[in-house]
Amino acid sequence: MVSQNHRFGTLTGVFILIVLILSGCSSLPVSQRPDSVESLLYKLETGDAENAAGLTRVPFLLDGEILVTGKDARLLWSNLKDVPGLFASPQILSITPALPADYTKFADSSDMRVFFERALPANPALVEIQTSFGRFLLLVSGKKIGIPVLAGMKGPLK
Amino acid sequence: MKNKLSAPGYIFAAVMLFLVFPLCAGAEDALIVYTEGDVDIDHGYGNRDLAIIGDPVMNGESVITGPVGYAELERGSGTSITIQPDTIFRLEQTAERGEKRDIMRCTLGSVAYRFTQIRGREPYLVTPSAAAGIRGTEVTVSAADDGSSLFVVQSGTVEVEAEGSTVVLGADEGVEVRPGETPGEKFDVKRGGLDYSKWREARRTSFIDNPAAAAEGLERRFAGLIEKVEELAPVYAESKRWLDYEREQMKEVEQEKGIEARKSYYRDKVYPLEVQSHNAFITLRYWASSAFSLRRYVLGRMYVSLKTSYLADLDNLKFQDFLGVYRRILAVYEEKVVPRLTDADLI
Repeated sequence: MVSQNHRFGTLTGVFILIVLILSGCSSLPVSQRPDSVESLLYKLETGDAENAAGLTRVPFLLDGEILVTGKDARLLWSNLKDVPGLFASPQILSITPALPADYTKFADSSDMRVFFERALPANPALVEIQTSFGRFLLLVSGKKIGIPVLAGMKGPLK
Repeated sequence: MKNKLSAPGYIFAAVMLFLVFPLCAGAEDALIVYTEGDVDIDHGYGNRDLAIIGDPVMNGESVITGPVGYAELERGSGTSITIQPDTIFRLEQTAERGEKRDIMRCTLGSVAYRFTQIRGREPYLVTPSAAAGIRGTEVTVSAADDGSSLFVVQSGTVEVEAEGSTVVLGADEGVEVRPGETPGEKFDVKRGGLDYSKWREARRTSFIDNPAAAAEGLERRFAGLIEKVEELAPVYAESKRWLDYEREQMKEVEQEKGIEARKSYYRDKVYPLEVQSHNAFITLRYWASSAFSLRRYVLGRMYVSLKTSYLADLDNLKFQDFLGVYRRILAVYEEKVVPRLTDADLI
């Protein structure tokens, strides 16, 4: 009887642990999950310009600029696709939720301040990566299912 | 329990009515009557919605079309606006000699207008490099990535003004205006004989070949707009100072001579200053918004084109020369334009 109770308690504990782990995982938005961000970078690196533009959210930040049209996103990727190894072998250095006070990480300007205060996308995260090309700061966003989208990029950082 | 406004509540409501009513009273919305592909309405603060037939487009809002996006708008019974793909179009308002004037701004891309019946003053058709007044007209306006504009008239008359010089276009005539320059020579246009996308591509190639020169053209245009902002800012400040003073005087009049004296003081002294102050404010805003459009959409696209083209060669002289001009424009923008706009304008 004691043994059965003990077994039941162990199983319950394991079950609770699994539930906790799963709920912990699912509560983290894709924009803050390293594997999801890696998937995004892989798709950006291996896909064509049209696919990459499809994974890019507008308004999009490029350094201190706010790009507002789909044409800007296509232009961006048609040029970046000529840069060899831009996002090849990415190493994620850090992922943190993006906060309004983070605007200076892109540019210390009024445009950027207002964007970060008023127009950050859903579940925004700042991701710092190192690739064979250089170090970049990315703004990614996204919901809990699927992969995040790229909403901003600054770099290569010095 | 009844909801009742407190005394401060009434004052707040009265102030809000004063601030909001004059802006809304003259504002005539446009209506989306047809769309194809990606068409968004940008309401400001980064709030963008897919445009649906029947949606209104208010003053201060933009219509942004995608690569295969196309939209038709109607304004009142006599104005049709056709927005081509990859275009940013915005409705605004300014005041001229005490009278409100509608602004239709094409910042990038191509827009065709047909005006069959105009109520009040004719609207201004504005691009990054020029402004045009129209009279009973069909006209197509195109704005390229380097800030250049092309005006082509199908019927009626259009006056294109840039840098203090005006060219009058009749039917089947066109003119190109480069940023910071007076309008070029007008030319004849055969019906359907002009390919606007080829013209935009040619302007883009020219900008890529010599980006610093293109940015300097933009800088000249930007400086002209800043001059207007600087001219109007003290006019508005003075008008507002007088308005505040007269409002204080009005309170004293009421205390000393009663409500009837207050009413006539308002009619004779305060109201004219309210109108003057409001007109100065929206005109100042118009010039500041023009400078903003140039910086955000035209300079922004120049930057993305060049930064991504030269990413593997950032020390390249062409890019570095461009960056020098780019940084100068940004510094002036931050100092002279941003203080004249609201946070909502900056998104």
